[in-house]
Amino acid sequence: MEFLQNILENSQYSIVTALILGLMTALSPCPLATNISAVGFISRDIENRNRVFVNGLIYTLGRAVSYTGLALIIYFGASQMNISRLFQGWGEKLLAPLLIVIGLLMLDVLKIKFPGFSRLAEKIGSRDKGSYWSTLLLGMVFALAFCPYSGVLYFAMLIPITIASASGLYLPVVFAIATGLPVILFAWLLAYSVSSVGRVYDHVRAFEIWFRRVVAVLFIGVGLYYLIRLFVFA
Amino acid sequence: MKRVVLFLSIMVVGLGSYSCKNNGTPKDAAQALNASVVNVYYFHFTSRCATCLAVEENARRAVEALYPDEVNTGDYAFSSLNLDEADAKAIANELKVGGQSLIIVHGKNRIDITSTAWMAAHDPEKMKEEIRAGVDKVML
Repeated sequence: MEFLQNILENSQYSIVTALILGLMTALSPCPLATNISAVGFISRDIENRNRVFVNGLIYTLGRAVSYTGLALIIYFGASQMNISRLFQGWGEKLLAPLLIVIGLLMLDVLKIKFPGFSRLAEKIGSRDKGSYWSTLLLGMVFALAFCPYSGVLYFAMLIPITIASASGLYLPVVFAIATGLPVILFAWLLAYSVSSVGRVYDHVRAFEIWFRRVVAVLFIGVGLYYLIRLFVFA
Repeated sequence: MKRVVLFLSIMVVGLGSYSCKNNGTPKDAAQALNASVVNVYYFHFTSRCATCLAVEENARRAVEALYPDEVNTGDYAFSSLNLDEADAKAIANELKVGGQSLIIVHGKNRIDITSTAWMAAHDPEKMKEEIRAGVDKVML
């Protein structure tokens, strides 16, 4: 982290600054729990390494949508003070129940019967392998769940150089790619190593079902971790 | 007897956490209204990261080390304010603070040193430099 900080301080180019800020966000201990959940989620189609890689790209695209969207809202005149306070104040608080609900949906423990919701739940539960929407949505939501450290990196450091001129509006995309890079890399490595193990035992399908259950439990566990962090250690 | 012990324990823990949560807040709020004071404000939310805690600790120490006499006389002050609390929100609204930040204010002069202070979070000497540079600017 100190190495990244040194580059950041000596950087003359805003694109390098955005890249380093993104890497610092991804590697800081603060959002590590969401990153681990994301690695699990995008590797859920573990038998197909290419699909895991595409999932990683879609997840990063989701993050880019959120980061750029927020920057555009502020650029076009919304109060940076209100937007920043809203997301820094509520992002992490809403993340805990959300992760637990997603985990319970994936485990089929929670079945909510609202019109249209069952389809959404099915997509989150990833039975529908043709859909990338859940991955995109996860990237968007995780990007908006600013934790104390990433909130400062985004709102206090990236936003000022982004909204300084229209030519800076591409910077959140660079930032998003950097935040997604470690996640893509780890997911792909996991899929690469685990799918080989699965093939050896010729039980890839059964393995995948269990892997998804592990991911669901991971979501619930990370959700509980955030709940405890918020209400016990705060 | 057990009930009395339990009751007293709850009272002690309750009062302890209350005094802990409110440590410095009334003084901070009063000082915030005084425009002649050089105020170094550290704004945060209830949930905080290790770096955020280090920023507060080193910024507070820097103010106390750089301006010991002024801190004693009350001309310089460091305040840590929780944006999840109403008092702090009112001050933050006045100073147009959107989230976690380190701000130096003197009268109408205001400087936001959040980004540089976060980079100096774990380096007390660098934090001193940033605070000193910020104070010099608002005193101009």
